[in-house]
Amino acid sequence: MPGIARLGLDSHIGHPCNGTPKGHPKPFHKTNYAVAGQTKVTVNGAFAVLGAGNGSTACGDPAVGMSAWVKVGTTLIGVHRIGDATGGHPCHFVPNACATGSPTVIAFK
Amino acid sequence: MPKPDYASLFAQYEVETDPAVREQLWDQIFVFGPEMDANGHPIFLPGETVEDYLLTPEEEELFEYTKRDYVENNPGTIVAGSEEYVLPFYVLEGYINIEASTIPPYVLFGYVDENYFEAPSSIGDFIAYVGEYYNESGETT
Repeated sequence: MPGIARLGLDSHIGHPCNGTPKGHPKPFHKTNYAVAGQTKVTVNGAFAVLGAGNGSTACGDPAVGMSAWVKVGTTLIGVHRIGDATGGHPCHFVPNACATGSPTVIAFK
Repeated sequence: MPKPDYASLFAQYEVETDPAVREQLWDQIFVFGPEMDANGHPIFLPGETVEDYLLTPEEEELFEYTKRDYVENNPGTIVAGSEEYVLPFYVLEGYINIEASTIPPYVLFGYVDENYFEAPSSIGDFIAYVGEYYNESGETT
Protein backbone atom coordinates (compact mmCIF):
# COMPACT_ATOMS: atom_id res chain seq x y z
CA MET A 1 0.00 0.00 0.00
CA PRO A 2 1.36 3.43 -0.85
CA GLY A 3 2.46 5.94 1.76
CA ILE A 4 0.47 9.14 2.26
CA ALA A 5 1.98 12.37 0.91
CA ARG A 6 2.92 14.86 3.66
CA LEU A 7 3.05 18.62 3.56
CA GLY A 8 6.58 19.95 3.22
CA LEU A 9 8.20 16.51 3.39
CA ASP A 10 7.24 14.84 0.14
CA SER A 11 7.48 15.78 -3.51
CA HIS A 12 6.18 14.93 -6.93
CA ILE A 13 8.40 13.32 -9.60
CA GLY A 14 8.86 16.71 -11.23
CA HIS A 15 8.30 17.94 -14.76
CA PRO A 16 9.46 20.20 -17.56
CA CYS A 17 7.29 22.29 -19.86
CA ASN A 18 6.62 20.66 -23.22
CA GLY A 19 5.33 23.72 -25.04
CA THR A 20 6.60 24.30 -28.56
CA PRO A 21 5.98 28.02 -29.24
CA LYS A 22 8.87 30.45 -29.16
CA GLY A 23 10.35 30.57 -25.64
CA HIS A 24 9.57 26.92 -24.97
CA PRO A 25 10.09 24.27 -23.71
CA LYS A 26 11.17 25.24 -20.21
CA PRO A 27 13.42 23.31 -17.80
CA PHE A 28 12.60 20.52 -15.40
CA HIS A 29 11.75 21.31 -11.79
CA LYS A 30 10.69 19.30 -8.75
CA THR A 31 9.14 20.69 -5.56
CA ASN A 32 7.66 19.49 -2.29
CA TYR A 33 3.98 19.64 -1.45
CA ALA A 34 3.25 23.12 -0.09
CA VAL A 35 -0.55 23.02 0.20
CA ALA A 36 -2.23 20.19 2.12
CA GLY A 37 -5.84 21.19 1.63
CA GLN A 38 -6.72 20.47 5.25
CA THR A 39 -5.49 21.22 8.76
CA LYS A 40 -7.02 18.39 10.78
CA VAL A 41 -4.95 15.26 10.13
CA THR A 42 -1.19 14.85 10.39
CA VAL A 43 1.03 12.00 9.26
CA ASN A 44 4.45 11.71 10.91
CA GLY A 45 3.96 15.22 12.26
CA ALA A 46 3.06 16.87 8.93
CA PHE A 47 -0.35 17.51 7.42
CA ALA A 48 -1.62 14.82 5.06
CA VAL A 49 -2.01 16.12 1.52
CA LEU A 50 -5.46 15.79 -0.03
CA GLY A 51 -6.20 14.77 -3.61
CA ALA A 52 -8.80 16.08 -6.04
CA GLY A 53 -6.80 19.26 -6.53
CA ASN A 54 -7.07 20.35 -2.89
CA GLY A 55 -3.37 19.87 -2.22
CA SER A 56 -0.54 21.02 -4.44
CA THR A 57 3.23 21.30 -4.69
CA ALA A 58 5.12 24.56 -4.24
CA CYS A 59 5.28 25.00 -8.01
CA GLY A 60 1.50 24.66 -8.25
CA ASP A 61 1.19 21.07 -9.45
CA PRO A 62 -2.19 19.93 -8.08
CA ALA A 63 -2.50 16.62 -6.23
CA VAL A 64 -5.20 14.89 -8.28
CA GLY A 65 -5.11 11.17 -7.52
CA MET A 66 -6.21 10.00 -4.09
CA SER A 67 -7.36 7.11 -1.96
CA ALA A 68 -11.00 6.17 -2.38
CA TRP A 69 -10.95 4.62 1.10
CA VAL A 70 -9.01 6.92 3.38
CA LYS A 71 -10.61 10.33 3.58
CA VAL A 72 -9.76 13.13 5.99
CA GLY A 73 -10.65 16.70 6.83
CA THR A 74 -14.00 18.33 7.21
CA THR A 75 -14.95 17.58 3.61
CA LEU A 76 -13.77 13.96 3.71
CA ILE A 77 -11.57 14.05 0.65
CA GLY A 78 -9.20 11.18 -0.10
CA VAL A 79 -5.53 11.44 0.78
CA HIS A 80 -2.92 11.75 -1.95
CA ARG A 81 -0.38 8.91 -1.98
CA ILE A 82 2.86 7.75 -3.60
CA GLY A 83 2.20 7.13 -7.30
CA ASP A 84 -1.05 9.09 -7.44
CA ALA A 85 -1.40 11.49 -10.35
CA THR A 86 -0.69 15.20 -10.30
CA GLY A 87 -2.32 17.48 -12.82
CA GLY A 88 0.48 19.66 -14.18
CA HIS A 89 0.35 23.45 -14.31
CA PRO A 90 0.89 26.40 -16.67
CA CYS A 91 2.61 27.15 -18.89
CA HIS A 92 2.86 23.59 -20.23
CA PHE A 93 4.35 21.70 -17.29
CA VAL A 94 3.09 18.18 -17.76
CA PRO A 95 1.20 15.96 -15.32
CA ASN A 96 3.31 13.51 -13.35
CA ALA A 97 2.91 11.67 -10.02
CA CYS A 98 3.60 11.77 -6.32
CA ALA A 99 7.16 10.50 -5.81
CA THR A 100 7.49 10.16 -2.04
CA GLY A 101 5.29 9.63 1.00
CA SER A 102 5.18 8.36 4.52
CA PRO A 103 7.18 5.15 5.06
CA THR A 104 4.96 4.19 7.98
CA VAL A 105 1.44 5.48 7.27
CA ILE A 106 -0.21 3.97 4.20
CA ALA A 107 -3.62 4.24 2.61
CA PHE A 108 -5.61 1.71 0.62
CA LYS A 109 -6.68 2.36 -2.91
CA MET B 1 4.79 1.67 -19.58
CA PRO B 2 8.38 1.91 -18.25
CA LYS B 3 10.21 5.20 -17.81
CA PRO B 4 11.21 6.63 -21.19
CA ASP B 5 14.82 6.42 -22.27
CA TYR B 6 15.04 10.21 -22.45
CA ALA B 7 18.58 10.41 -23.84
CA SER B 8 17.81 7.99 -26.65
CA LEU B 9 14.55 9.71 -27.53
CA PHE B 10 16.19 13.14 -27.59
CA ALA B 11 18.90 11.78 -29.89
CA GLN B 12 16.26 10.38 -32.26
CA TYR B 13 14.29 13.63 -32.14
CA GLU B 14 17.36 15.63 -33.05
CA VAL B 15 17.99 13.78 -36.32
CA GLU B 16 14.39 13.05 -37.29
CA THR B 17 13.08 15.17 -40.18
CA ASP B 18 9.52 13.84 -40.52
CA PRO B 19 7.27 16.26 -38.56
CA ALA B 20 4.77 13.53 -37.68
CA VAL B 21 7.46 11.24 -36.27
CA ARG B 22 9.04 14.16 -34.44
CA GLU B 23 5.71 14.89 -32.78
CA GLN B 24 5.40 11.24 -31.71
CA LEU B 25 8.90 11.31 -30.25
CA TRP B 26 8.11 14.59 -28.46
CA ASP B 27 5.07 13.00 -26.85
CA GLN B 28 7.13 9.99 -25.77
CA ILE B 29 9.79 12.22 -24.20
CA PHE B 30 7.40 14.19 -22.03
CA VAL B 31 6.17 11.31 -19.90
CA PHE B 32 6.92 11.62 -16.19
CA GLY B 33 5.37 8.84 -14.21
CA PRO B 34 3.45 5.61 -14.63
CA GLU B 35 0.36 5.28 -16.77
CA MET B 36 -2.73 6.30 -14.80
CA ASP B 37 -6.24 4.90 -14.64
CA ALA B 38 -9.30 7.12 -14.83
CA ASN B 39 -9.09 7.85 -11.08
CA GLY B 40 -5.51 9.03 -11.17
CA HIS B 41 -4.19 5.80 -9.69
CA PRO B 42 -0.94 4.43 -11.09
CA ILE B 43 -0.88 1.32 -13.26
CA PHE B 44 2.47 -0.24 -12.42
CA LEU B 45 4.03 -3.10 -14.30
CA PRO B 46 4.74 -6.20 -12.14
CA GLY B 47 7.53 -5.44 -9.67
CA GLU B 48 7.57 -1.77 -10.56
CA THR B 49 7.37 1.16 -8.10
CA VAL B 50 7.28 4.94 -8.51
CA GLU B 51 11.01 5.01 -7.85
CA ASP B 52 11.51 3.42 -11.26
CA TYR B 53 10.19 6.67 -12.75
CA LEU B 54 12.41 9.12 -10.87
CA LEU B 55 14.84 11.01 -13.10
CA THR B 56 18.57 10.78 -12.54
CA PRO B 57 20.51 14.08 -12.37
CA GLU B 58 21.81 13.33 -15.87
CA GLU B 59 18.26 12.87 -17.17
CA GLU B 60 17.09 16.08 -15.51
CA GLU B 61 19.96 17.89 -17.22
CA LEU B 62 18.59 16.87 -20.62
CA PHE B 63 15.71 19.26 -20.00
CA GLU B 64 17.86 22.19 -18.90
CA TYR B 65 18.91 25.16 -21.03
CA THR B 66 22.59 24.47 -20.33
CA LYS B 67 24.70 21.87 -18.58
CA ARG B 68 24.68 22.25 -14.83
CA ASP B 69 27.39 24.56 -13.47
CA TYR B 70 27.94 26.03 -16.95
CA VAL B 71 27.16 29.43 -15.47
CA GLU B 72 29.28 30.07 -12.40
CA ASN B 73 28.09 32.06 -9.45
CA ASN B 74 29.39 35.58 -9.09
CA PRO B 75 32.41 35.04 -6.82
CA GLY B 76 31.78 38.41 -5.19
CA THR B 77 28.69 36.97 -3.62
CA ILE B 78 30.19 33.61 -2.74
CA VAL B 79 33.73 34.11 -1.46
CA ALA B 80 34.25 36.41 1.51
CA GLY B 81 36.48 39.36 0.69
CA SER B 82 36.24 39.09 -3.08
CA GLU B 83 34.93 41.91 -5.25
CA GLU B 84 31.81 41.73 -7.31
CA TYR B 85 32.13 41.72 -11.07
CA VAL B 86 29.35 44.24 -11.45
CA LEU B 87 27.96 46.85 -9.15
CA PRO B 88 24.79 48.85 -9.56
CA PHE B 89 26.73 51.39 -11.63
CA TYR B 90 28.56 48.74 -13.65
CA VAL B 91 32.00 49.32 -12.12
CA LEU B 92 33.53 49.23 -8.69
CA GLU B 93 32.35 51.88 -6.33
CA GLY B 94 34.70 54.83 -6.52
CA TYR B 95 36.13 53.78 -9.87
CA ILE B 96 34.45 56.76 -11.46
CA ASN B 97 35.13 59.69 -9.21
CA ILE B 98 34.35 63.22 -10.21
CA GLU B 99 35.04 64.64 -6.77
CA ALA B 100 38.54 63.51 -5.80
CA SER B 101 41.19 65.70 -7.42
CA THR B 102 43.75 62.89 -7.53
CA ILE B 103 41.66 60.81 -9.91
CA PRO B 104 40.96 62.53 -13.19
CA PRO B 105 37.38 62.01 -14.25
CA TYR B 106 36.72 59.59 -17.08
CA VAL B 107 33.20 60.75 -17.58
CA LEU B 108 31.31 63.88 -16.68
CA PHE B 109 27.62 64.63 -16.75
CA GLY B 110 27.46 64.85 -20.53
CA TYR B 111 29.36 61.58 -21.10
CA VAL B 112 32.56 63.37 -22.12
CA ASP B 113 34.72 66.18 -20.78
CA GLU B 114 33.49 69.64 -21.40
CA ASN B 115 34.84 70.96 -24.73
CA TYR B 116 35.97 67.42 -25.67
CA PHE B 117 34.19 67.87 -28.95
CA GLU B 118 35.04 70.90 -31.00
CA ALA B 119 32.78 71.80 -33.83
CA PRO B 120 31.96 74.80 -35.95
CA SER B 121 28.83 76.69 -35.09
CA SER B 122 26.75 74.38 -37.23
CA ILE B 123 27.12 71.07 -39.08
CA GLY B 124 24.32 70.65 -41.51
CA ASP B 125 21.10 71.05 -39.55
CA PHE B 126 22.82 70.40 -36.24
CA ILE B 127 24.42 73.04 -34.13
CA ALA B 128 26.37 70.79 -31.78
CA TYR B 129 27.23 67.16 -31.08
CA VAL B 130 26.51 67.47 -27.43
CA GLY B 131 24.31 69.98 -25.74
CA GLU B 132 20.81 70.67 -24.72
CA TYR B 133 19.52 70.73 -28.26
CA TYR B 134 20.34 68.62 -31.27
CA ASN B 135 18.81 71.00 -33.77
CA GLU B 136 17.10 74.27 -34.23
CA SER B 137 13.64 72.76 -33.98
CA GLY B 138 14.13 72.24 -30.28
CA GLU B 139 14.62 68.48 -30.21
CA THR B 140 16.25 67.77 -26.88
CA THR B 141 18.73 65.21 -25.71
